[in-house]
Amino acid sequence: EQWSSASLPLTEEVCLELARAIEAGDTQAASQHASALARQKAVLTIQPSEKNYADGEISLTVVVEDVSSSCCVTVKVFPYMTVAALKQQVFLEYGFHPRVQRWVIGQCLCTEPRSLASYGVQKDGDTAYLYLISARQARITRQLFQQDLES
Amino acid sequence: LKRQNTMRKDGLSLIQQIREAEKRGVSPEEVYAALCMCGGSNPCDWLTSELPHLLDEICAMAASVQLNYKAGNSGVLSTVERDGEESEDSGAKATGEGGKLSRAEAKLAWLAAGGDTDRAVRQLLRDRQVKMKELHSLGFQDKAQCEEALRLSGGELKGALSLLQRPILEPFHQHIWADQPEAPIDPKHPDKERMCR
Amino acid sequence: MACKVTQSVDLKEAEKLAQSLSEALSCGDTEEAVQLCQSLAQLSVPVCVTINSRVYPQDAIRLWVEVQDAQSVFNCPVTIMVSSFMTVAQLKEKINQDYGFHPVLQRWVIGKRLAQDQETLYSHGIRQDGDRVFLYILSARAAHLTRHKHTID
Repeated sequence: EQWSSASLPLTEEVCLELARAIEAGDTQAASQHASALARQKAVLTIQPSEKNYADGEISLTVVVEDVSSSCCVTVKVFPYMTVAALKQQVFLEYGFHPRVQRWVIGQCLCTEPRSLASYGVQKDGDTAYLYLISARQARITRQLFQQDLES
Repeated sequence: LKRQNTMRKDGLSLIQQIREAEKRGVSPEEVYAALCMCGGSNPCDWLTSELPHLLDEICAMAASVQLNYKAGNSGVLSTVERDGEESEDSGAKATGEGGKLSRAEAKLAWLAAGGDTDRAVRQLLRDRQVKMKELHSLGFQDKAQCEEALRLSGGELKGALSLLQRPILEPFHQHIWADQPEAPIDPKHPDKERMCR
Repeated sequence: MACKVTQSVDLKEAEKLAQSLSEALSCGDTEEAVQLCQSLAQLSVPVCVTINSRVYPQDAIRLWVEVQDAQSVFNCPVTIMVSSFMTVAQLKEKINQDYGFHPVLQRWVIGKRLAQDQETLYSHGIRQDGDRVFLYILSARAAHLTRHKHTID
C-alpha cells in the first residue's frame, strides 16, 4: 500500500480538484489529477453527484404563445416557488405584466398560490406553457404597467 | 494534550473574529478569507479598503491565464475562449482588467477558495466555463454574445439568460400592446417607456 | 431554442465512466485513467470523488464541540461521536437532525480554519477523543435564510 495517513489530506485535496475539473469540463487539469491519483493507486469512489446546479434551481422549458405566434425559451426556476412568484420573475426578467400571463402545466391552468412542484415540475427540461393575453383583455394600461415595474 | 490546547486557542481567536464580523454584517467566509490577506490589520476594514483592488487583480490574472491557454496548448478552455476574443478584443483590453470577468464573480471564487488567490483564479475560470457550457447547452452558440451577457449580468446565469432571450420575445410585447387603443392617444407614456429601455 | 434532451443519456454514460475511472485509479493504470477522465470531463457533469473510508482510522472519536453565537460568551460544550472520515457536510446534517440547527446556519471552526463542506474531519486534524472544535451558529438573518427556504427544508 502506498498510502500513509500523512498524505491523506493532500490526496483529499487532489480529489476535490479532480471533481471540480470534471464538472467544469477542463480535460487537461482533470487528466493531471487523474494520473497523480493513479500513481498513488488511490482507492476512490467516483459518482455523478445528485446536487443540482445552484441549490435546486432547474431549467424550465417555457413555450411562449399568444394569438398569433409561438416560441421556446428557458427560464431558471425553483420547483418550490409559487406560480405567483414565477409570474413576478418573468415580469422582472422579460417585462410581461403578471396580469397578461397565463401558465399552463400539464393539463392545468395554474393558480397563483400553488407551487410549480404541485403541478409536477421537478427537473431540467420540464415544459410549461406561457400564454400571453393582450393588454386590453387583461385591462392593464401602460401607466399601470410602468407603476408595477417601478415598484 | 498540547495539540488539543493549541487547536482550541486557534479556534477561539477565529470565533472572536467571526463574532465581530457578524455585528458588522460581514459573513464568516469573508472574514476568514480576509484574514489570510490582511496581515494583522482589521479584516473588516481590509475588506472595504483593499478587496476591490484584489478582485481586479484576480480578474486580470484569470484573463492572462486565458491568453496563455490560447497561445500554448489545446485544453477545452482555449476553444471556449478563442471565438470570444475576436470581437471583444478592443473593448476588453481597453479597460485593462480583462473585461470579460466581473468583480462579483471574482469575489465568489475568492470566497470559495478561502482567500487563496491562485485557487481563486482557477475557480473563477472554472465557474465561468461551467456557465458558458450551460448557456451553450441551452442553445446559445455565439460565444462572444454569451461572454458579453455574462459580463453584463455580473456572472449571473439567470440574468445572462434573460439578456440573451429578450430579443426573441420582443414580438410578443408588440402583440400585447397592438390592440391597445390608449397608447397612441396619450403622448406621455410611450416616451417614458422608451427612456426606460 | 434547443431544449435539453441529452441529459438522461449523459447521466447513465457518466455513471459508467465514473465507475471505470475509480477502478482504473485504484489499479494504478495511469493511461486508462487519463483516457476515461477525459471522456468524463467532456460530459462536464458534477461528480463526487471520495476516498474510500476504509483508508481512514476506523475508531469513533468523542469530539468536544463548543457552541457559540453572536451573543453568547460563555462556554457551552457538547460531546458528539464522530468518525474521522466524516465530511463537514455530514457533520452539519447530523447536528441538524440531533439539535435542529439548519446546515446553512452552521459554521465549523477547527483549529485555525473555517471548515468547508467537502472536507473531512481527518483533513482538519481530528484524531482522538477530546479534540475540541467550535460550532458557530449564525443568526438566520445573517445567513440570508429566506423564510421560504426554511419551510421547504
